[in-house]
Formats: sequence, C-alpha cells, structure tokens
Amino acid sequence: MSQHGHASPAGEPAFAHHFHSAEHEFESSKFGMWLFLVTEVLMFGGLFVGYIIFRNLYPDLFLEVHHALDWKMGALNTIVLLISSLTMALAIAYVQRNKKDLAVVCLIITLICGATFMGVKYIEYSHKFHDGLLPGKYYTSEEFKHPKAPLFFSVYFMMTGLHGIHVLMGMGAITWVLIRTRRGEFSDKYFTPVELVGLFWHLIDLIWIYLFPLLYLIS
Amino acid sequence: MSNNSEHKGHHLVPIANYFKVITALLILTVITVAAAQVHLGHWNTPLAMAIATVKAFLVMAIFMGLKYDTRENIFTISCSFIFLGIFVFLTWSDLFYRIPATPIKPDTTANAAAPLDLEKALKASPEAIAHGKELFKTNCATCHGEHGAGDGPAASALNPHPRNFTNGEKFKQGDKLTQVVKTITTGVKGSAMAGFPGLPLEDRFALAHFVRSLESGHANDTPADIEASGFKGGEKAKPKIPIDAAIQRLIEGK
Repeated sequence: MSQHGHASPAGEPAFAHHFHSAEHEFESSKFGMWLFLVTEVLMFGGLFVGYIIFRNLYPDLFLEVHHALDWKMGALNTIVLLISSLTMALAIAYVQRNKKDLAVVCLIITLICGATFMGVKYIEYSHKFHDGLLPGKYYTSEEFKHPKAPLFFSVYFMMTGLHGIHVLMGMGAITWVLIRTRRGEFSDKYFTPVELVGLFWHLIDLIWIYLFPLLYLIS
Repeated sequence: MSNNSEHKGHHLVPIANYFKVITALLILTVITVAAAQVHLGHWNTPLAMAIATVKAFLVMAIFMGLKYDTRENIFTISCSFIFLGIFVFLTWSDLFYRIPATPIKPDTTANAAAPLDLEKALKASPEAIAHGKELFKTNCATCHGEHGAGDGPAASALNPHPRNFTNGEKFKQGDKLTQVVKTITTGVKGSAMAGFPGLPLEDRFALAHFVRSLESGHANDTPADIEASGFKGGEKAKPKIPIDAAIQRLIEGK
C-alpha cells in the first residue's frame, strides 16, 4: 500500500493522491455535497421564513390571492418531480449494478420530467405576465383588490423562480452525467458524479414538496 | 484489499424499495390535495406541512440514501434543519408574542363619558398640549418617536413610514385640528396608523394639539370646518374599547 498514485491496480478505480482509497474519495465527495445541500436548505430557509412572516401578517392576502395559481398545474408538477426523483434514484441503482443502458434510459426520463416541469412553469409564468400578476411595482392587475396583492407575487416569483433556476441547473448536471454514463465512464466501482447529481436533484424535489402546499393549496 | 471488497458505503437498495417509496409519495400527494379541500380551520396548513415532512423523510431516507449513509452525513444535514427550526421558531415567536411596548389602556371610568366641553377642547392651551404630550408617549411614541420625529423603535419596520411631525411633511388627511382628531380616531387606511376610538374625545383633542404644536404653520379650523366636523359641545363621548378589553369586562362581570 505504498503507492498513493493516480494509477491503480487492474480492476480498482483510480483515485486522487490525497485520498487513502477510492472509497475514501467517494465519501469525501459525498460529504462535500451534503455540506453544499446544507447551504441550499438554509438559503431556501430564508425565503420560507419570509413566507411565514408575510402569511401571518396578511393571512387574508394569501387566502384571496392564491387563487391566481392553478393547483392542478402545481399538482401535475409535483407528480412530475416525484417521478423524476424515482428515475434519478433508479439511474444510480442501475449504474451500481453495471446496467448502463437502463441507467441511460432512467436519466433521459429524469431529463424529460425536468423539462416538463419547466414547461408547465413557463405556461404558468406567461399567464401571470400576461395578466400583470407581478411583484411590487410591476403589478398591474385589477383582479385582486387586496392592497398587498403585489407582495404575494413577490413571494411567489422569488420562491418558484429560485427553485426553477435550480431545476435548470439540475438538468444541466444530469445532461453531463448522462453523456458520461453513455460513454461508459461509470460502474459499480466509480459512480460519484451520478450519486452527487442525484442528491442535488432530490433536494430540488424536496423543496417543491413544501412549496406546492404552501403556495397552491391555501384554505 | 479486503477493505475495498466490502464496499461499506455502496449499499445496494433493492429496486423494489424505490417503487414502494414513489407509491407512498404519490398517495401522500393525493392526500395533500384532498386535505386542502376539507375545511379544517387553522389545521389545514399544519396538516399539509406534516404530510410534506413525511414525504421529505421518505425522499431523504431512501432516494437520497440517508438511511444507509454515514453518521457524519446524517448529522450534517440534520444540522441544517435544526438551524432552520431555530430560525423559524424565533421569528415566529417574535411575531406572535412580542408585547406592545405600551399597551393602549382604554379609559373605562365614568370620566370618559363626561360631556365634551368643545370650547375648551378646541383651545390649544399649554395644559392641553402637556396632556397630549403624556398621551403621545404612551400611545404613539412606539412608531412616531418620543419627539414626534417618526423614529420610534417600530418605525423601521413600517411602510409607509410613520409620520414625522417635525420636518414639514404633509398630513395625509389634513392638518386642521378637527381633521387631526378624525385621523387619530379612525386611523389612516393603507398604513399602520390605527384609529384610537378607545381614547376619550378630549384626549384625542389634546393629542392633536400636541402634534400640531411640534411645528408651526398648520392651518386652523374655520367655524364652518368645526360645524362640518360634527364635533358638538355637550356631546357625551361614547367610549369604544378594544374587543379584548370588552371581553375582559364581560368575564369580570362589570
């Protein structure tokens, strides 16, 4: 065990020289990803706390104005994201079992789900833009009489917008691991990037799980 | 290489488990939507959050593999939720349990119902201004600042900001005495300025005198203005008190 080089004996994955083993490298990478997810939770956490404050200050506002959102669209997107989480988890499971083709199929389905989510969001957003249901001074709609109606759309666009950006980033990352999976770069011995992209994608799902009832289902 | 062959971190989750989890997640989504159609009063949101948390646990435990992950990773991500919990709890408790600096005490004594001496009330006597100053400290200073400069402790949180009475800002609803009394009585719509109908009418006049005394150049009421304002001498003030004070009186059986 004297060599800490980049090359490794046949059958064993390569690992960087500052790690003891491929296992060590994998665990370190994963720990790093979890640390990043902590910052993500706290970033969205700030928005959730803002939501709590405004909802408690203006309960009637949220009750009235949430009708601008179509819960069916929100529910559809919830299902789409949940399924994408399943296929992402399956993709990792198949990589771990050396079933490359199945993993590729799962990643493609995950991408399609992500695109569907963004498509539905696009439809929702364009309706809001068209109706002037926009944040702050850009609010031009006559639909809601509540004086704080623009505030609801500030909250809505900030939370779903930041989430949507994450979906796009996640889709980019999935495309990257999809290409590498197709090239056969991953196996049961080395699949760190797929695993980490998976964690990121599941976090996006996790946040939407909370956003959906908080924004679309207020009663 | 026995260490490597164990592959401790690479726990293989049976694929069937993933399908069990997605089934549970989809069922919980249907329950979330269905529960939102049922009217549960204040319980709708906590229920939705509880279901969301069950879903979040499923996603984290199985999809994200935390159930089979190292203790370090479980601890790390748990920390984020613990700190988020502290963030939410402290903000929430501040929002709900902050005691107003000086709660408004309605005057429920017989004096409050005494007939109004209009002539006396209209006069900006030093006594009236001094009395108004005292009332201002207990009822208004939290937002408007002790010296009426709109810089009370609560001011920074308010939009539109509380009126500064010392720098020539306009009174939104007029600066004549009767107009200011009306503003104090009914508040200003679209702002945090509340009405204080619980204060005896004479006190509201005293407050108006004090506020107007902070700056010169305010317009004065013409006799027609006073006529139009509807304030009449000898009028018995009907003290209105906040609902919670009324409930208190009911409970005490007074």
